Amino acid sequence: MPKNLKENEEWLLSFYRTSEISGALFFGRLCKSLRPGPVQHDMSKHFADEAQHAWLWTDCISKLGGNALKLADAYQDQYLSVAGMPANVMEILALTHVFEKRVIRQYALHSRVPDLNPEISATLGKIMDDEHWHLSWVHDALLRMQPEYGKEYIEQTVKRFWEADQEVYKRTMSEHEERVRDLGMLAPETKNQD
Amino acid sequence: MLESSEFNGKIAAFLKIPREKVANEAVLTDLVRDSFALVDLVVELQEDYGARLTQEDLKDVRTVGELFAQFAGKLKS
Repeated sequence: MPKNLKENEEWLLSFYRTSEISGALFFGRLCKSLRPGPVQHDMSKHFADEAQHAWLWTDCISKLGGNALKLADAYQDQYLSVAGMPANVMEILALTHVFEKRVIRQYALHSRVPDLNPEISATLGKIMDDEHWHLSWVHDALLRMQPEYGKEYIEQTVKRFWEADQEVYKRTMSEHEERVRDLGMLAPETKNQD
Repeated sequence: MLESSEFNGKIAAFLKIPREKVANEAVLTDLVRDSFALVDLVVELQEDYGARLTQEDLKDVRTVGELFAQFAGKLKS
């Protein structure tokens, strides 16, 4: 099959795939530790979605004649070195909230690339609905956690991880600037953190 | 009252490593595969004991014994 994928696209889609795999494995493991309840319920769907997304990216790369690349680190792996380890379930959800916003922004940015291959566009479309749901359930869970953890502690934690995300994003963009520029995806950074 | 031998046993069982590796002086990051496994372990222990730790509680924790002390303090208060 002829390769219908630029080298940088193959890398970026593999980067997405690696991130989805990391998310699925992390939430899958975490789900085993959680007590039964709404968070366990929604997180089970969340990690099932992430695993499905990893498959969708793998399939998309393959349909375009490429090979999914084996990449060592996922984007979210860097949060821990910048912001420190999340200490409890609420902190994990705060981190997830920030990360899901980043994912949605990144996928939306990619969707707007001129002359985007229809296969990539269709894959982004399939994934985006799930990503919006991820943000929504995590947001609702954080609201429900307010009586236990306190509104201020939750807001401070979201802010801490949001600041970490800014740092990680800057670092990632600078490390891969050439690839991102080649794909026409240099993004204006948003100031919205809610 | 929380016993360190039981606590250390739980860590060994969760990480699927020999019990003798989980001494009070053992450094937590040496016992786990990666940082996410450490997050997972700390959540598992919190869910199991019904205790809540914050990042402030964990900031100086390096060893199994220090982690035990944090849990023991939370469960006593």
